[in-house]
Amino acid sequence: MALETDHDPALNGGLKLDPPDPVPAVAPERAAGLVPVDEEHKAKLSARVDEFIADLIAQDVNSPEFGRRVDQITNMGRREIAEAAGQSNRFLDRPVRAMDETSGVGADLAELRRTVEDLDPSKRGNLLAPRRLFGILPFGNRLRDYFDGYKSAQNHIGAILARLQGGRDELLMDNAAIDVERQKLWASLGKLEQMVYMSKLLDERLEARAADLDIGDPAKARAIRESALFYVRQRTQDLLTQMAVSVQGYLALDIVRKNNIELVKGVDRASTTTVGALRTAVTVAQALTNQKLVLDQIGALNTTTANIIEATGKMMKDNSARIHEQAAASTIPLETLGRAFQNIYDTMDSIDSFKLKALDSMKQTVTALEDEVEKSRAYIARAEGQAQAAANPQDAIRLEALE
Amino acid sequence: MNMSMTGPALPGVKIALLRLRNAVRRLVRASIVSFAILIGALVVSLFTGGIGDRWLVVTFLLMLVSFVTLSIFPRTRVPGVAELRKTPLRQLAGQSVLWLEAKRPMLPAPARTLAGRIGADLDQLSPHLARLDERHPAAHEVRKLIDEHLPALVESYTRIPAPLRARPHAGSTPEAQLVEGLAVIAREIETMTGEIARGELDALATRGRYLEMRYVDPAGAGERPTAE
Repeated sequence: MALETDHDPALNGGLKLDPPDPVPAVAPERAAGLVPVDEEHKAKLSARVDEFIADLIAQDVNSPEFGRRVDQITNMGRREIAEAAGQSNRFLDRPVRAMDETSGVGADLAELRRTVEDLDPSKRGNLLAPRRLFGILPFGNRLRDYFDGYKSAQNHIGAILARLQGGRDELLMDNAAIDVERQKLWASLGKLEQMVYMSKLLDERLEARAADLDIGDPAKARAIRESALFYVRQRTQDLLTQMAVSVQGYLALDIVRKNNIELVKGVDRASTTTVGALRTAVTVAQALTNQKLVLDQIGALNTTTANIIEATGKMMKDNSARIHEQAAASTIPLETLGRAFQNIYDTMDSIDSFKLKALDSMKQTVTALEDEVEKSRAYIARAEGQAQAAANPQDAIRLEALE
Repeated sequence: MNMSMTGPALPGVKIALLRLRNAVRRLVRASIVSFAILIGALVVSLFTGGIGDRWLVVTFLLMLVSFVTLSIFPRTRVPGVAELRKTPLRQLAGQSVLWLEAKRPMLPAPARTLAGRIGADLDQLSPHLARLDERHPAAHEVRKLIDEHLPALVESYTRIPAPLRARPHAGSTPEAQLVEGLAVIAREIETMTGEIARGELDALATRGRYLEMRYVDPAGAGERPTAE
């Protein structure tokens, strides 16, 4: 009947932090269709396309007016593409702050580990052996000295844990920002989707009209095929390319978000196991040396960490009751304390291995996204160039997504 | 996402304020000078044992003339294009409104309405510009638009001899071209206002979401799906 600290599944079910899988490259032809365009919008866009085509066909092929209409096609979706591009680039700017070893949560966890290792009973030799001056005279009490170490360490540990809470809040703030970013990205994906729908419709109908005109007005049919239709297809490709990048950025942001959630879990667990070990030490000190170890910091920490995992408080209470019950057998409480420390190490180890895997996954995602962004940049540059060539604010039929 | 700025064309609140402030400043200056003349006359009469009626009249005339002159001059100065370029960002909107206001009488009627709208939009933009870093890309864009494209458009119109302004050239009349150009600029200013406000909009949305994750839903820590 050994004392079990690793009894409660809430605390010792084995902390498993899963790094999300890297986001693969999204092929442009598979990018469309993520955000469906609803029927009402489809009808409106379709009307817009019809109106535009009727207007285009009515123009003389050689007139500058015809050229202006064609310019409008080359400009189609410029705003939507530029907006979406700005957003997916921002993902690449986002630092992977939590993964950094030298600052923030990573540094605090490392420091916590070092501090806690100093208190580990298993590194202190046999604490129950009596201490003797010159190896002969009984002098002092090893255990008492050992527990005194807690008093001096508690402020330090308290400060680290408070910093960890701050880091945890930062991670949550990051996630809040990501949520907002993703919402915006989702909205611009919706607009891109509308534009893709529109340009495909334009393609289809222009093709049909050109076929109709083949007999009656072959010159116009050719002009439509060679200029209008050509640009429509080019724009469709640009839109799909940007769509792919945006979808990938959207998924990549989710990875950062999931990583942060896992890290928050890790930080929570590290705090709880540390406070748990300190609490155990208080109880063990009481049982073994009848010494009242006063760790004020723990009281304060308890309130912080109690919010994190509700089970902690309950577990602590059960534990101290059990330790008191077993107080007669003096080695057992020390074993318990040793196990409490082992819990902290296990948590830290799982955070470390999580970070390794997560970093790898992040790297792959960023590389894939960078490649795509690079590809899409060429399109954006082309779109910008054309935008400067023609800007007609007063045109009645705007080839733009609906709000 | 753009902030809607297409309200009725305000007569430029900022410019009215600017003019009022200048007027008040002139009045204060004029009063101080008149008062100083009065005090001077009193001091002189104290030492000389009283001044004659003639000098009293001269004193009052002097006070009147200086008051009137100083409360009219100097007029509110309208900056030139070259000056606009050197204006710091925080004053840029106000100064351009002054400049645009001065040019307004030379513009055709529809362009005047648009100029009014641009002025009103610039008014709204100016507090945000004051907070914007000069090196921010949006700042660069705003500067280019307000102190380069806008004056260039208006000046190249005013350089055209008046009789030719309504005559068709290159597809449409210069007047129509001016109106089109101003419409583009008005729309761009609107977009930029949205662009500049976006950071603030995001910050607020993020803060709200954070509070929700931190306090309302602490166990989930943001597990909830977002837009899907």
